[in-house]
Amino acid sequence: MTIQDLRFKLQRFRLLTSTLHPSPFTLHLPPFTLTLAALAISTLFPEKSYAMHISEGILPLNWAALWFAVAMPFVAYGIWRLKTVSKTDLSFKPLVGLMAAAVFIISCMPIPVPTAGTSSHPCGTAISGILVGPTISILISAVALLIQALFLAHGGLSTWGANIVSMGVIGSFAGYGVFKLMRGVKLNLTISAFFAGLLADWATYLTTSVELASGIRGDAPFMPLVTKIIIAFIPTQLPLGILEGFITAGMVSLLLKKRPDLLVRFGVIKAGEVKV
Amino acid sequence: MKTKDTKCKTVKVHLTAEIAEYAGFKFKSKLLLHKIRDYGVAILLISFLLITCHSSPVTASDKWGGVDESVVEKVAKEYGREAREPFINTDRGDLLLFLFLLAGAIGGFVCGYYWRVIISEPQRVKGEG
Repeated sequence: MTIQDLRFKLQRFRLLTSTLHPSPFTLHLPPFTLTLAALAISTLFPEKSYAMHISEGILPLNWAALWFAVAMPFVAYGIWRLKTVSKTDLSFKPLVGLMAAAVFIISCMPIPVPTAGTSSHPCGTAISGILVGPTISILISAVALLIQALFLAHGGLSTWGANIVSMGVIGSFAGYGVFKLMRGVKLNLTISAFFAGLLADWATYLTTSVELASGIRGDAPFMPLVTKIIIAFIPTQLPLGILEGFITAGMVSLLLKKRPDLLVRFGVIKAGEVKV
Repeated sequence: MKTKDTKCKTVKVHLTAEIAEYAGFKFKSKLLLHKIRDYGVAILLISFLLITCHSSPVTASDKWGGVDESVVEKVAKEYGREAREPFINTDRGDLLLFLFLLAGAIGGFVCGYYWRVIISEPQRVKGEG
């Protein structure tokens, strides 16, 4: 069959079908909008809270207090940093507001994982860590976790500190660190953001495993228990980490396309990298 | 011979673009591969989400419980620690469902509002200027 034959057949097919019905794909929505819409729809059907956060009362009081003590200096520094940066840059607060809402939604969005038969959620701390910095990202996580513990039966007040450390501190610093490291060796922005999201998610669950094992083990040996918990998390978190990587890469790429000046101003990319 | 091959390849790309355009994807043939990649990724993600979220009794069954139940609480129970009822227990009837919807709606509104402030407003001002 020649090219001309193909072209002729296509024209004939177009003539035949154009009178029957309009093309089903006439809505030219950008792919990212479609993806966000699907993500939003998926949040509308929760049956219960499907969290990776450590639930209320799981950790003994001494361990809960320890993690609280570890988390609070980071939160306090986050508040100070937010105040300082907002004074000098008026465009920073809207970005923080956007990130806070995004982290809150992402971190209470239950996603069923068919490979595991369980549900869990991404964290969103990699995106906020990259865009607004890890310390402010910790503050954002703390607020999101507090609202979830208070009103959504998601996590707990006594385990708030432990959840801030795993999701906020480790998630944000892991995402930020991986991103900076990969950008430092001149890797592509999207790829760096993908791996930042992926590793931030896995690091969060790794920390949750350590927190849980250290809190509940009693006299039992630590390493076998922590390994057992990590292995139990793997079927769910392996694919979810990949999803978190895509979300992070998508968000960073979108901002690069729409507001590269913001990324330059907040030190995510260098001015020379922006295509004019 | 080489020129003929290149020409043939170009015609094929244009033809593929025509077929895709007929399906509603409006783009220039030069961006064909990029557009296919973008839409492909979006379709894969949406399919994954919709199939996993809404196929059969996914969220209605205990099988799809969260890792907080299937991992955290299960392991903790084995070691003598059990989850306590939350201080404010909203897990009663449809109350939790309502609160999740409310939280999603407020979160979505805030996201949209700040997105507009960050992205749309500067572009509008730039356009007017």
